[in-house]
Amino acid sequence: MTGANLLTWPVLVPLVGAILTLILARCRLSYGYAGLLLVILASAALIQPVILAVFAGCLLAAHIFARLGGARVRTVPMWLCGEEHQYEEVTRR
Amino acid sequence: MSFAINLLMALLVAPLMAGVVRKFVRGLVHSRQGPPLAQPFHDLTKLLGKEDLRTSISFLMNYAPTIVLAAMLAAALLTPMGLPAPINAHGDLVLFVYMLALAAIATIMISVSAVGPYSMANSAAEIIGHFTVEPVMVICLLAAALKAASPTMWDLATWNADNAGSLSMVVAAIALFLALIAQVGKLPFDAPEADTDIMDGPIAALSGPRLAQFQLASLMKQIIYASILAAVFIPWGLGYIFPLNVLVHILKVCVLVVLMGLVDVVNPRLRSEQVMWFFVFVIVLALAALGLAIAGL
Repeated sequence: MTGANLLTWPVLVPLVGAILTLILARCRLSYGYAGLLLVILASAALIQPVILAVFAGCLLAAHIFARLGGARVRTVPMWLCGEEHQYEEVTRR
Repeated sequence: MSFAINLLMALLVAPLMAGVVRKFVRGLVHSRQGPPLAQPFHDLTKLLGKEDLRTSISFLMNYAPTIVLAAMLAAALLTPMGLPAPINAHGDLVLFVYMLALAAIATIMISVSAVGPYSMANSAAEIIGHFTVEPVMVICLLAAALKAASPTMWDLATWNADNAGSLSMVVAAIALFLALIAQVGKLPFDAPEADTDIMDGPIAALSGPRLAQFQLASLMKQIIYASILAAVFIPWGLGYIFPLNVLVHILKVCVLVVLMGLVDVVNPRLRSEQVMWFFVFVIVLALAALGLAIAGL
């Protein structure tokens, strides 16, 4: 195994990122920070320049693929299969 | 050349094979005509043009499908498909497993960061599925790496081609084939996706182009996993001249995908504990292959 390949060993790095994200989610902290953390950790494991370039190319290709249809983006409220009621409204006393 | 072949396999053959399975395998078993061969392409095209409805402003929610597709593309470029993989010299099986893990983690991120309760409920199923199924492939590839004394995919394939019939590799191939159907999330192991009862599992909140990205990644995953089994553990045909070795590889992948489709069509979904016991058996089988490889058999 070459030295460069050894750099790809920390397979568990994104898993640690995922677990941290879950913990942050549990603590009701922002997902944004967790996402940033995950990306940084994943990037650290992909340090070999050729692999990094290939992955960047793949990310770009995936992004372009999503834009091929020219679809519009719209933010909508989450549909929860009905109306949301307050706890007090639905609790039997 | 291998760059173009791998991309063609991932982007064109993968949806086409899904069409073949839907039309011929599913159609035959269900006694009906089935959709056109190009139906997966029509589905993807339609989704790409549909409005992208977003229920969350989360970075992960919005870009995780891109990461899933990118990781699958990178994995496809690491997979030998009749020829050495395009980035064979720069990445080995560890990077391949890493890419699969990245795709799985991004999928889990989709479900965790979605606002809806269905997606959240399915993140646990996705995590359990990943940690149960992926080790089988890792163990089988490690066994092959031990035998070939190299972590590079092409070395594993060529070693197996030169030393066919090794006991550990036969056991590893059986374990990997048994795990293959669960790895691509097909029946009877489709609990994480669970199309019918929990609203498309972790991808319930995706729509339009992001759903197209995820669907294409799922189709590619099937071809990549089948290619690994075909190239590394059923390595016949690797030594043929150029177009023939690629054609033999495509034929092997077609047979595997059709077999997976057949199992998918004729089986009901297993209960969670049945799946767990099945995977206890498969993991033990994979570990046996690793043990045999360490023993030099």
